[in-house]
Amino acid sequence: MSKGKILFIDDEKIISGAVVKSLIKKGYSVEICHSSVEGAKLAEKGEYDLILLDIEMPELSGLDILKRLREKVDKSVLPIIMFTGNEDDKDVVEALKLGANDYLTKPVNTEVLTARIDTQLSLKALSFENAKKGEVETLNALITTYNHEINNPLTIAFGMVEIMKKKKEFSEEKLEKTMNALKRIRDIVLKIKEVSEANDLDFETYIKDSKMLKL
Amino acid sequence: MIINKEKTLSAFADDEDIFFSIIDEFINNFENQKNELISTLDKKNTDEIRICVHTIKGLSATFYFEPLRSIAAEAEAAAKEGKLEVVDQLREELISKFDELYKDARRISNEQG
Repeated sequence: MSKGKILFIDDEKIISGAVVKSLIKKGYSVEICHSSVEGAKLAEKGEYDLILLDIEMPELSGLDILKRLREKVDKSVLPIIMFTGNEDDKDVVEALKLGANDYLTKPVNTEVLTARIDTQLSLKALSFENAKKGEVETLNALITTYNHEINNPLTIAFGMVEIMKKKKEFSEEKLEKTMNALKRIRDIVLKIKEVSEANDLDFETYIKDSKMLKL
Repeated sequence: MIINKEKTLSAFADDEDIFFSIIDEFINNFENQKNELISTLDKKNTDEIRICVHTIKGLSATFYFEPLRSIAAEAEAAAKEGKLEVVDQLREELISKFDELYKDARRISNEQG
């Protein structure tokens, strides 16, 4: 199984090809693109776990691509590691300001690169896990609220039916109240359905991360 | 020493396969790369010169060949500032050091068999 799907955008072919071979040997799945314009399009597809991006490229520079990507994807969702061959720190500072997660100076040491990639992928996984926990907490709060919301009309509906049963007489008014209470419950159930469909949290994750019991 | 094999190997986790693949790729691409360098220098377009010598700078840095890396860096900086006369002054040395790098790559490749 791949350790992560990486896109490497670099116009230089010889060294970048060697870096890719090295990363593949270490268990990553890597695609390389030598055109900055095509690379930007590929990166925007959102199919990669991490992007390696050279700064100095013709047409679109690595900084241009980084800026475009950060307008759409947060650094916790798509880590980007920049490569720079310049001694000047200006590019690095600019890249970090624009939302690069990390950078490496060329010539690249593949062991350092691997360590940086692993760090970024671990941070990404952690951030994803925290987001899921946040979703579980929100759902739990929602359940507590809706539990109360359902309980009230349910008590009314039961109460009205109980009275009619006891008195053995039909009442339009009590039937109306029962119907209204049942409608209220139906609306809440529809709302719950809406919320659960809008949330991509799967049932198994929810069960694992919350104290909910399977009935 | 032109190509510092030990340092280049170390950058690729001492993986000889990868080291020789870089050497082979460089040899196979050398003619094209040299022609591209010459034609770019002839065109005198500073943006194109900057990108072209930047690539050569990266390549020479990977092989730890400091004389070529420093000339390429100088040419890159001059092109960035639009100083074509400085680029012209560096031209012959740039091409000659690039040739030296190629010859050494051939030597290493031949020794390997």
